[in-house]
Amino acid sequence: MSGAINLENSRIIKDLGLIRDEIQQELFRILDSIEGPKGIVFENELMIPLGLIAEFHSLKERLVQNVFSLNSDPIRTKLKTLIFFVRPKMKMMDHIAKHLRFHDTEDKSQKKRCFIYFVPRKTFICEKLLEQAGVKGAAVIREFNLDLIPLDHDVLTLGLETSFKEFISGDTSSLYYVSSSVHKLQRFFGLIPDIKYVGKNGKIAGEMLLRMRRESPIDENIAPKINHVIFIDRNVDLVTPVITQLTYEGLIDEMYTIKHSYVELDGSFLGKDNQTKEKYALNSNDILFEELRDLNMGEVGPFLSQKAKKISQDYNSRHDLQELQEYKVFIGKLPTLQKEHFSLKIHLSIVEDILNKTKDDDQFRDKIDTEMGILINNIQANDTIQNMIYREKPLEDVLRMLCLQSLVNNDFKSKSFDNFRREILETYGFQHIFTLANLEKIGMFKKSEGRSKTRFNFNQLKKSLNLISENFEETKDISSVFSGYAPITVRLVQKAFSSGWQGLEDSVFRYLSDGVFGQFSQENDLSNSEQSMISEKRNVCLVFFINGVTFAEISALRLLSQMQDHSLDYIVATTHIISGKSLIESAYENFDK
Amino acid sequence: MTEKFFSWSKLQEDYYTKFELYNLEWDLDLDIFIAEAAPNGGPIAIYRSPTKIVIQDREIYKGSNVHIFTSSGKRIGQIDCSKKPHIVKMGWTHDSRLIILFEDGEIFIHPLDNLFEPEIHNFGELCQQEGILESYITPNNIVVITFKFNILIFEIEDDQVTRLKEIKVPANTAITSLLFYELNYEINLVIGLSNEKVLQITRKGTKEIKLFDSQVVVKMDLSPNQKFFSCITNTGLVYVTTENFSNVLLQFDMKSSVIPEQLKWCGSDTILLYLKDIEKDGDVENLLLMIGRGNSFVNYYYGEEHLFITTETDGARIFSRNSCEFVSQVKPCRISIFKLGSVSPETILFESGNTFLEKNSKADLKIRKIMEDNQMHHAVTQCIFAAGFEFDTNIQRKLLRAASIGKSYCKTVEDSILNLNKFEEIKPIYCDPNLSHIHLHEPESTNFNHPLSIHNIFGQMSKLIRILNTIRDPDIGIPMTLPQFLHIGIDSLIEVLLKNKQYLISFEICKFMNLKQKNHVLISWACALIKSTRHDDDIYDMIQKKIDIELGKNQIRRSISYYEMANQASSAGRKNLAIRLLENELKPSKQVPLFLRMNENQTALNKAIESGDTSLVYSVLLKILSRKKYRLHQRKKSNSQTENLKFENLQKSMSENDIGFQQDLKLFKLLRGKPSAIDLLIGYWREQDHASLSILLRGLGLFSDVGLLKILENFSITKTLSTSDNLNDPHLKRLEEIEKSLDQLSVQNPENRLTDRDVVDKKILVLKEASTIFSAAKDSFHDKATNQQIKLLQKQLECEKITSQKFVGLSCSQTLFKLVTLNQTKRADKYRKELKISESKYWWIKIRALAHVKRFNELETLARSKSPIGYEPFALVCIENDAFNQASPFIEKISNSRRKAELYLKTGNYTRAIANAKQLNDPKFIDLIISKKRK
Repeated sequence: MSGAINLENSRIIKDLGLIRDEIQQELFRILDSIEGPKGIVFENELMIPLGLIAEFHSLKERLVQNVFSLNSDPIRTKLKTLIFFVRPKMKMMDHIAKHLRFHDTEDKSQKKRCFIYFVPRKTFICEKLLEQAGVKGAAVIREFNLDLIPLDHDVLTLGLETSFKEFISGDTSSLYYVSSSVHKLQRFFGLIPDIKYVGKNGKIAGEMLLRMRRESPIDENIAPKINHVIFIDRNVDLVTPVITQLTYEGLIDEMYTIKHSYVELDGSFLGKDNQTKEKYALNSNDILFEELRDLNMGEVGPFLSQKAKKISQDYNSRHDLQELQEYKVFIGKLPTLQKEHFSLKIHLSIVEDILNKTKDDDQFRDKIDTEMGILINNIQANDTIQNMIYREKPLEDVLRMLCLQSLVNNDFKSKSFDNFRREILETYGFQHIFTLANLEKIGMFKKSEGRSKTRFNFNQLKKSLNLISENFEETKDISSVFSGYAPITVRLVQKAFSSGWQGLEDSVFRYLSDGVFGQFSQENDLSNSEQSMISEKRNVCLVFFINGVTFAEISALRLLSQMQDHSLDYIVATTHIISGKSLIESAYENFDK
Repeated sequence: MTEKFFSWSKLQEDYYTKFELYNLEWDLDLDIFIAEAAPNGGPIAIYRSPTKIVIQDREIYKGSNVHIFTSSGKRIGQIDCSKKPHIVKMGWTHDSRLIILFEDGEIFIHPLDNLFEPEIHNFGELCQQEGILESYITPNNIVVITFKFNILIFEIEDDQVTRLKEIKVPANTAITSLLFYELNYEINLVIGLSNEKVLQITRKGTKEIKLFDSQVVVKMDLSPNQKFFSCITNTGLVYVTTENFSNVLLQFDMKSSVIPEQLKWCGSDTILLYLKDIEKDGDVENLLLMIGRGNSFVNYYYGEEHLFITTETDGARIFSRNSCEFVSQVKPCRISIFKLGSVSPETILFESGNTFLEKNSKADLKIRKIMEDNQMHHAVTQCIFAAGFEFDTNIQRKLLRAASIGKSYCKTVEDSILNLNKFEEIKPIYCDPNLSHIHLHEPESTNFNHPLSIHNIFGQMSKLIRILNTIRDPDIGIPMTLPQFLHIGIDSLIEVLLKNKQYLISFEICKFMNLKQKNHVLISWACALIKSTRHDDDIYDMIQKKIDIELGKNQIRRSISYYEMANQASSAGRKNLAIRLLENELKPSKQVPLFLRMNENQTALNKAIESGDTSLVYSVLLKILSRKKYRLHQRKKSNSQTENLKFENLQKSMSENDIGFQQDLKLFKLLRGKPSAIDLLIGYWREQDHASLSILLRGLGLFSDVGLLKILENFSITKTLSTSDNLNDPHLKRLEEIEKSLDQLSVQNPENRLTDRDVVDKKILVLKEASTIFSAAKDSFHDKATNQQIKLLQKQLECEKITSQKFVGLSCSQTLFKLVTLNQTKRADKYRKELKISESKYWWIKIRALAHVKRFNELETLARSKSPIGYEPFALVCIENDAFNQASPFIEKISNSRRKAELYLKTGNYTRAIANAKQLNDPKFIDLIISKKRK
């Protein structure tokens, strides 16, 4: 069963499916243009994104007979044609060079044709590296412009899973892909009249977008279907991703890890063998999940039991049918009912499992309590963290807590900073010397350097952005996604369209890490009457998270658009979807050489 | 208007017209010159035939120059060929480039706007050795047959020579005629031989054409639509066949065996023969013979005039001493208007339309009659098109005037809609030269087939006529017809005009027709200006002023490519101008490489960084590095003193002649203040070149990072050889590969492998280097950590020896944990002290390890001594390992009752849990416990 989101008559932008169709057609064109049976070699990062674009059988129809994953192991196959799909990363060039040389030397009888498709584009440096390795002539080098892939009606991802890691090492390449993907969206959905940005990288992306319009003009006579775009630099808010997500979808991600909308579950959840793991697609194809995903975990239980009652009522209504007409209606509803029933069973299993794992576990409770304690009351959680290290709890959890405390409480005193670093190296290994250096470099875990130097000031933001809300349940505030804490990023979006960003410089922006924010407007060629026709519709805002967004933040944006007096729909685009765990992991050094 | 009709010649059902386009003042005897004209009213190139005797004294008759004239006889250029061997043949490409083939096999292709800088190609050695026997030039190909009957084809677009299989020709046989064409991507070479054979050669092979038995084919030609083949034989028979030679469509007996000078198609419907010295009324005259369908023909006598015929898609141009003429079929719309005695509605409209303006009352009545007959729509259309085919501006005006009056009578919009696809203007002659490509359309629209209203057609046609009249002006001299124009399209017309250096006219046409090529025209103009001798500043100002005026000051809207102008300036040696122009370019992807090519590294780097496109920044960095054969120079002696110095300071202490170091400084200057570029360079070198990276990091004062880089190296030391320093060297990579394969072989032979000890020793060596760097940088944390790691590695080696288990790679905690589980507690105690692990931490490690291997009695023994971490951890580790009973004594030792209750609850000891909870006065908590118990 294919789990890719069904985009027919998509909820916010009706023809959002166009962008996926185009990528799919480009892929098919590529495969059609290369004759004969062939094998595809994927870089791991691209495996799932491509799966969301085209199903395997459609690749088979195009004579793709085998799919390999790209790593340092040689590919042994009788196929004479190999197509590599890779990101333009230096490390990958080593692997490719190895393969090409391997085919050159060991398989003399089987001369292979090799094609390298760079995703989304080839770069100077990669071609140079292939040239230096002496294999540039051994393959045909081309490009495959796979950029934004819809994960849902309102979520698009570039699938640049190592984007944040690259930023840590100073490689800002993904910014180009961010801007060019939005530029491509403009080709489909019209020039976006309003560009906002926050954070240094947001500014670069916004400016590049403006430049791209000059470089490769688009049809400016399309009535814009997206009215605003906000580029949000993850660096603006590193607090939110380290906190444990408490929405249904967020918790599933925390517990089982969601990858490109797929989650691996115990087979028993899906009514299959308990031993196996099964992939299940979490998106709004599953109507029940659509209703559940943004709820705080506390609300999920009651909601589900109500839903269960309703569904079994509907299902059991068959016993009361009398008139023929009623039978007809019931049978008409049956497929939907069965689908709902199936998904209900799955979600009941998931909820039960999550509750088992969290409710009886005082560590989970402690974790949440400590997080909230740090956020609300600025407590020093040194002892708790020390204890976690002693018990050798997962390093990601330890570092999340350390980073949270460092960010919220204006960093560590020199002594305890060194102490924690030593403890981590002793317990988790010397290789984390790089992890720590990286976290320090991006300012997530560092020692305090006196008040004046630290710019990011959570306590000021807490007040001016109203980040903490004690009674989120009654007010239906977006802070429900973290049981009382509203993400900085989403509050910034909310402010942008409620009171505007002007006048927030002194109360908000000067306390953000780099204080950069601003706005451009793009004029299009439309006449005034056409413009006014547009403004009558509900406006759409594209929120582009550069270097990652969490499910909790996406949920918060959905809640925001459902709020009263809020006339905007949000579409979230991102370099990749992150969790606290993956964010911390991107600070790890790879030793795969 | 009947005079018009009387000037036409009738060939069966069709009328033909021949009229003078220009009166030429060149006064040339074309018998002495070899000529070749470009299609679509293009220029004509001539040179003096080397075989003719010259009695003239004029300069043009002397020397071996090629002269180029417009159709109106204006000389627009000449090419000096005095130093070249004889010219074999000339030809024109589709975009007005003159092809000259020389005797030695060299090909010169001269663009019309830049005659002095031809592209030069060559047929190569074979051609030079064997000599050219025959040749043929088409707009795309040049074909030569050598004296040894080797066939070579030069494809202009692909810039390559193909050699066909040589043909076998019997001795004493000459080639009498030659034709070359491409049809459906297959090349066709047709050769007439003096042995009465005709060969057709394709890539597949050679076959004989047997249509013209026992005759020698002396001239051949293919119709412009490539559907018909025509030839003449030595017996004076003219044939027209289909292009595959299967059907003879026409056979015409000239009843004379005079070999014509030229056999040429006139459009694709008739053929023209130029014959010299034909008897007429006892005199001899030169004759132009036109043969149409059904063997109909017309004779045009020219006296002693010599002619040159050039085929057009819809007719032919005829050059002579004093004139340039055009022959073509008369289009039906014109026949129906101008035919003698015509009473068609279009004739009535044409006639009364013009008297109408003279206020003739009958005119109105006549026009109303057309209306009543429902013929107005048709009549107007006919007049509009007739105007389009007309060269005489007076008649054009009259036709349009009539159409304009007529169309104002067309009542409704629907009435005036006409689908041009159904409008068949030109009747085919032999079979079906379907001229469906002739559509009128709005140049801007992409959909050519939508129906246009009659008003639109009128407007469009008026515009086109204005354009055509402009370029037909003798000053420009391009006598293009409407079908030719529609065939090549407005874009190509602009190109043709630019090639003719008609920048102003091109620009005006672009404005007039609102064309996108406006920018392109401006660029061409600017490039021409750059090539002139004016001063840089003047040129820059002129260009900027013109662009500001014509395109406005909004940079986004005008989006003109300054790159092309800058590129031109750069290759013209005007570097300053190039830099100024390039500054205005909007596309960094164009701008940066050109700055680099001009050696403007600093600017290139700045622009690349500004663009935000890292690939561009890398391209600059790598170019700079490769140009300088870059690799930061390792300084020979490095003690901790100099390690501490920054690069800027190093400058003073270095000797002047240390070239490598000077280069390093240059790179540094370039990178100063550009953190993003430095980060990228660091990223590149981290993957490729650690030696350079560590020098760069030192230069930046990032000493801790230098140390970390060493630590990174330590991690890459494995049992197989690793050369992280030289990964970019393909040679070394290959070595590495070989080494690896050796490594696989040597499994049986362990001496060749690094031992565990070797690996650890190497690691320690590198770590010690790191430690030195850290301590010099006063980075005590990293220094301590590194030293601890060194110690740990040494201990782990010992452990491995004693336990023969794997230890290297574990953390301190994991090492101690493992030792405890392996019953090496004493050793663990010792190492704990040496590694300076805190006591609390060690207690935790110990109890976790003991619980893990279920040595609970040891845990109890341990609990008897004073624990620095209390006793709750003892309980917790037991619970974690599902040893609930063993946990109880430890829970008892906890003083906090709530905590006690919670832990008892976890072990399932509800009685104890409730007992402790009762001390708390918290009924809710008790309820919770009870509810758990029930489950």
